[in-house]
Amino acid sequence: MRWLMWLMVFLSAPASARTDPVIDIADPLVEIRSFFSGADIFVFGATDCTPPSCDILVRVEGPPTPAVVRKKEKIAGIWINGQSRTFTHMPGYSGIASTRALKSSLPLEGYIAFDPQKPQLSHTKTEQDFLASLIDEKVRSGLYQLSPSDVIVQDGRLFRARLAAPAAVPTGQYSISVIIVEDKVVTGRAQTQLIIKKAGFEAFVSDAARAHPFAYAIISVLFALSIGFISTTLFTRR
Amino acid sequence: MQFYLPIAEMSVNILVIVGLGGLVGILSGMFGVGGGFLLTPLLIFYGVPPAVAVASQANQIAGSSIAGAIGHAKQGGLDTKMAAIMTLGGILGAALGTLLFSVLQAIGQLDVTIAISYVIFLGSVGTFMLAEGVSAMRSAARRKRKRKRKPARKRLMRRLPLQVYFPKSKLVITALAPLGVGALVGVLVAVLGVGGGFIMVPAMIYLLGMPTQVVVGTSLMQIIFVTAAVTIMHAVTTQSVDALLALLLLVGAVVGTRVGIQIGRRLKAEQLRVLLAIVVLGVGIKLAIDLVRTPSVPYTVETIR
Repeated sequence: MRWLMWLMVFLSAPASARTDPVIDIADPLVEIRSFFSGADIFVFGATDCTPPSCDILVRVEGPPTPAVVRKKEKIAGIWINGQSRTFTHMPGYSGIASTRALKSSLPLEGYIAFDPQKPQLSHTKTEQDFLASLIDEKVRSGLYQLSPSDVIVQDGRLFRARLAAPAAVPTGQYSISVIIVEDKVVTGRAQTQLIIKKAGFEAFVSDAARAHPFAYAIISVLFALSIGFISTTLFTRR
Repeated sequence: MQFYLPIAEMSVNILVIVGLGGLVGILSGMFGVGGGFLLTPLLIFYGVPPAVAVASQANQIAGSSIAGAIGHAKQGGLDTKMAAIMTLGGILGAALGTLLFSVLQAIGQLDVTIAISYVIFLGSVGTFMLAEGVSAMRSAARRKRKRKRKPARKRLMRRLPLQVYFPKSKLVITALAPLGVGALVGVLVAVLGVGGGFIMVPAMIYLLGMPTQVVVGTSLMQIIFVTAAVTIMHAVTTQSVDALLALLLLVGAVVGTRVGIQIGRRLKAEQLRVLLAIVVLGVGIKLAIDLVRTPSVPYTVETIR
């Protein structure tokens, strides 16, 4: 899979002995509360090699989120779901920022590994189509994004990147990787983690619905009934 | 103002959700229809996953039906025995419906089934309302046509086993009839997120032969219990009841209903009925077009939780 190759680019040993970059994130814990409408993930760091001699690539990757892709088929004039493929290892969120377009900074296979337009490593043409449509859908909903030139370098040593996550971002553990690429060879890397989770009332409701669905339903119904009941007493008093 | 729904796992505009509840509440206050058959498709258009829309709607309807039920019960418009039997049927139907829902979800045909069912329901309800409204507008004077109850149907009601006397409705009919009507409505609640009043009320009048003054109260009582049961079943099996979505809709709906009752008292019912029919048909046509039109993206993606 392309994603695997992309991962390999990130994991391959540095060719020359440069010092790895030092990185940090503004907020290692993103909480989804009642008025959550998406979050910005700020990654910043310092490195001894900056553009134009080196490129900096920042990747934020969410937990694997299984998805079913179904092909619509026309049966008796109506479009219904036909063939399907399940992908279990694709990340629920993937954002990449870089100092230049990936094509010009990465080795070819690293570029192919990422480019959403060219799923090349799946087994068959059909598989490729299903995977491509999954990626398209994620790109459309903002869950997969490729933002070249979003890594900003200051003073020749400091860099920062901002990656936007939409409200539909999956919860879980996120890995943040930064690589330094020099002449299409990875020469330095750093990694850190980020957690996105529901908090406060949102977490309470979500946990209750999952862990105690029966009690959750009873309380939901009682709430609805009491709102309906209160409305009658409110309106009839007049 | 954006608000994050914990079960739908999406950010929605509070004003849009409360507004949708209010709009459908106004219609329901004006015409005495439940409005679930409009609200669920509207939520789906807004981007709420169909499973969450259906399950949360059941929760919302339980709350929005109680005001009417209490009102009718106070005025004596409630056949408790009939309501109990229809509720029993409704709960059995709801169990079947929830099972059907899970199966359709597993094989990936839930969305299309919901859409096709809505096209059929909105199409037939809308056409019926439009025809009735137009003919009422044409001849407001000679409106009352006598309906003859079919004697064959009446005989069948008497011949089937489990004959039960319903004192409130002054009826002796087979218990299988209200049980069956209740069950059909239960399936509809669980699969489509509607209250089912628009099917139940005519069935109670023309099929069971109940007196009209007890029909609405009895159907509302059945709706409360069955939607409550569906909420519980969906919460346990599909886990797609979003209580906050239901509460937001409900706040809009209870206020909207009051406004609708006031408007309904002041305005000409015939013209409004035609207007409602056009809205209902419009939603149905939009759903039908989406089913038939070649999709811009020939794939659907469903995230598994």
